[in-house]
Amino acid sequence: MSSNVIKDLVKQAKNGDTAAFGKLYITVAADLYRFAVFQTGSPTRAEDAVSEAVLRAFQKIRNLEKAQAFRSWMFSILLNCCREQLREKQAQLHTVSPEDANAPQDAVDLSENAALKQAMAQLEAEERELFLLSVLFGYTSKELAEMTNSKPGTVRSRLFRTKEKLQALLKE
Amino acid sequence: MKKDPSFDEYKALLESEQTPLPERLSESAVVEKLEQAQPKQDKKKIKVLPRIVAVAAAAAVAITCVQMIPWQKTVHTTPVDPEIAEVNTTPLSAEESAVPLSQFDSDADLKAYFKNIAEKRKAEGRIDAIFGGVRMKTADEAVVDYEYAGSFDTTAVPNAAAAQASGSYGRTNTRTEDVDEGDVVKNDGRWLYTASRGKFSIIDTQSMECVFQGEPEPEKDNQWYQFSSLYVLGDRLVVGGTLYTGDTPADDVYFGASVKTSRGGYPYYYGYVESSTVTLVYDIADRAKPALLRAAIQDGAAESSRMVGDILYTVTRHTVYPNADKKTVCVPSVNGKELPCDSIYVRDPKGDCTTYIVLTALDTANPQRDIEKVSLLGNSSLLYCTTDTLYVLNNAYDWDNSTQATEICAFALNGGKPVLKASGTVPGVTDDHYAVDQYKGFLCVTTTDYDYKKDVDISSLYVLNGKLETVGKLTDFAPDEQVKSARFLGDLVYVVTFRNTDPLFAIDLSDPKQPKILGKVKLPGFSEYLHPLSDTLLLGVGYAGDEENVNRSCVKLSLFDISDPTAPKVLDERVLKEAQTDVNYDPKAFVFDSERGIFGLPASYSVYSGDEWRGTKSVYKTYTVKNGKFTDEKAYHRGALDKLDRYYNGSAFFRGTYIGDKVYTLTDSDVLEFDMDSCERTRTLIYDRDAQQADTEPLEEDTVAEIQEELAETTAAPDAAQTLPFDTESAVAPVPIDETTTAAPEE
Repeated sequence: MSSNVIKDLVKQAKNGDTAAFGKLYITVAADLYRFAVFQTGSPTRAEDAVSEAVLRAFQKIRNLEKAQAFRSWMFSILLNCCREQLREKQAQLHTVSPEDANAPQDAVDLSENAALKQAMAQLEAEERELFLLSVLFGYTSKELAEMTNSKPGTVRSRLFRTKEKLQALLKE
Repeated sequence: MKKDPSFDEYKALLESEQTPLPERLSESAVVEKLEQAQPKQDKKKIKVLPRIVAVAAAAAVAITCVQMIPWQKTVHTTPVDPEIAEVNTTPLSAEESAVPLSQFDSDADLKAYFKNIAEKRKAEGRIDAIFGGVRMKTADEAVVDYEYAGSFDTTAVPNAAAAQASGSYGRTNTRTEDVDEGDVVKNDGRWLYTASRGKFSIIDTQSMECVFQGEPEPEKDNQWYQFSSLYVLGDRLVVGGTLYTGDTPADDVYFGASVKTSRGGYPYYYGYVESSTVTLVYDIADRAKPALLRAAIQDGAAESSRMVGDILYTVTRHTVYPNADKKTVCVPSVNGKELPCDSIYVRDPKGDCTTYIVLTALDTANPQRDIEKVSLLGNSSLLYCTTDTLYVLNNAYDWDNSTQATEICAFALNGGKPVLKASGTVPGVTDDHYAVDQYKGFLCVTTTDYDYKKDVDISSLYVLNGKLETVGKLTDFAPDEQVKSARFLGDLVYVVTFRNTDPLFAIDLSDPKQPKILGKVKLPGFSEYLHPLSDTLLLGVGYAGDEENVNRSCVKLSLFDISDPTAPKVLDERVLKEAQTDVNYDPKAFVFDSERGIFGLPASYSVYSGDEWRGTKSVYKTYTVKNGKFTDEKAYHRGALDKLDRYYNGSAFFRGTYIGDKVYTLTDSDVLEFDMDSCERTRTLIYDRDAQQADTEPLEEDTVAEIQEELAETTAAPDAAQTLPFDTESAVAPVPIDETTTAAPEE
């Protein structure tokens, strides 16, 4: 999609045009969902997170300054939604009744990525965020710093630490 | 998996996994959902409300508070009409505030306020249920005073309590004269006091020894302390921090670091964390044996604190989660005692704000005295304090009306008995407490607003009277620019705005009701912090850039001549390449020795070998300003390049300071002493070995030379081509940079 088309669509979306927003959304939808699946570790939560992010993004699109930044802006909203899903998950873990605790969890993952996913699950949410965004979508530390509201140096050091952590976890 | 995969291999692994987009997230499903969510009358067209100050504020309060609750979810249940309880409040008279304030008449009214919110949330199907409920603490549940369950690891050194050194030494760079700000390092001319992680230390610079280290142990294993705010008043030490309570044990160690050892701000922690703000007052007549005089705890995360005279004012933000089906405490406590309803104010008794701003006053000279407290249901994002008034400002976003506003409330301090005086609001959001000033009885606020229709930023200055009514303004003085920093100097305010280039404006406030622009100058990049070096010189610390972009991986120092405010001039510039400085985020990292005209700032340089980032190298930089130039550039650092910081936690200098002719740099683990003139390291004190081991890594020898070479290139004069021609209005030519003054950090 050319930059002028994106600009126009953002403009229309800012005026409340849902169809224009839909066109913008679908250019990033697959990536958003993919990220959310890995980040939350659950397709259901991922669906909820993306769905919530879309609602918020549409409400807030008037604050989007640069049309070109739509993609990373969507991601920064999704980051928050995923954090909330994880927090909710955590809260539920601590409030489950004994019957719930015995309920079947997500099916056992037998894919060849099981080890990596298991290791990723042990990362801090923030570390996993940066790791996924950088590995899957190639965001630079500068872009990541803007998305997560921190410093590029901090991002670089966190990524470095995350890589070390993962390696150690995978060796276990 | 045996070998260490690279990032590329991770990528391949992850990409092998298919994640087909579910139907609910398809374009058509999403568009349909948005259609449903959009209010009918607003479809296709969203109107901008005229900006009536009071109306905008009320709306903004409501919306912000909804945002505060992170567990909002799509509606699942059928909405039912909640039973609305009556809330009786007494409004203060209209003249008293630009946005009316009310007080709850009784505990029952306060309960009713939260009950209504809880019912409404239930009807909306929100899942706040996991925390909520409306309940007041019963008398036997309330703790009378905070029992301090600390233990101390004391390294006793005799004869520590000798006379304090006289002469010049570095003080915390504060916003307002006579209003002290807590910091991670305090210097009283002989002792250095430092707080990092859950410890605080007293260091004697004469013997270069750590004479005391306090590491309070929390009561439970899911709690941990972080201390970040120190004050020293003669023989009194005040330690401020946060007691975090998590839902799993706090000392799960991961790669040598647990939440207890992570530094600054919100620690790494996976799960739900509750914060309480803790204040410890010590008698330190014997520096090696501090005696605890008072421990105080108040609900909520610390917004900030200020010391005026002996009185410590602490502001916390405390959010409660009312629930229709469960009982939950909905009133904040100070030292276990709930605030009485007559000390709680509200802007909108029918609103749904569930966050409290709690202000307490503690007399540190008489720490056993009762703590004074007052509270307002509202949010906060920054604090500005003068000797008589404390302002809590909040950046509020109202999505429905596409407005952003700064909500302001003013507390009269009354020498330790604070009272809520007024509440008001101005359009746009405010950056930091340097953007606000109380002058000649007026409050001046610089803000950035955003007009979504035109897609432009609006920089403005508002002047408010004691009732926080707007009496003067200068709107949109920099078309489509954002306010980045401001410095109020008497009749004048200097404002840096930014879009691509960095105009510095001088605005005249001698008639507060009619502020006017006197002059401006443009240059690339922008300043995050402005510091007056003399009556005629203003220093800007910020980022470099060109017409298109800002380069956030460089630090830029700009020296402005403000002797003629109608025509500010740029005298000199310096760019520190591949560097970051904490001053851009926290002006307290800046030190100025006005006697000698030397200023200092910590800088972290990124070090690469080839394309690979190796870590950061910490350098403390100082400059002297002579004849309108940065001269005598000095770099204080470890020299041997023995350690690179990779985790941004341990070995970076977070502060530098000076006593007499010595410069001190502080990290989490050590204090280095340097000779001010020669930059030679004279003494080293490792005061926290745990921190040192956790976060730094020795370098292989063969990379040292390579890194040294790179480091030598990191400081350079700005490229002449980067300097834009000045704005015609200022009619000043760029000053060429003297090449001889740009030295590489000395080894």
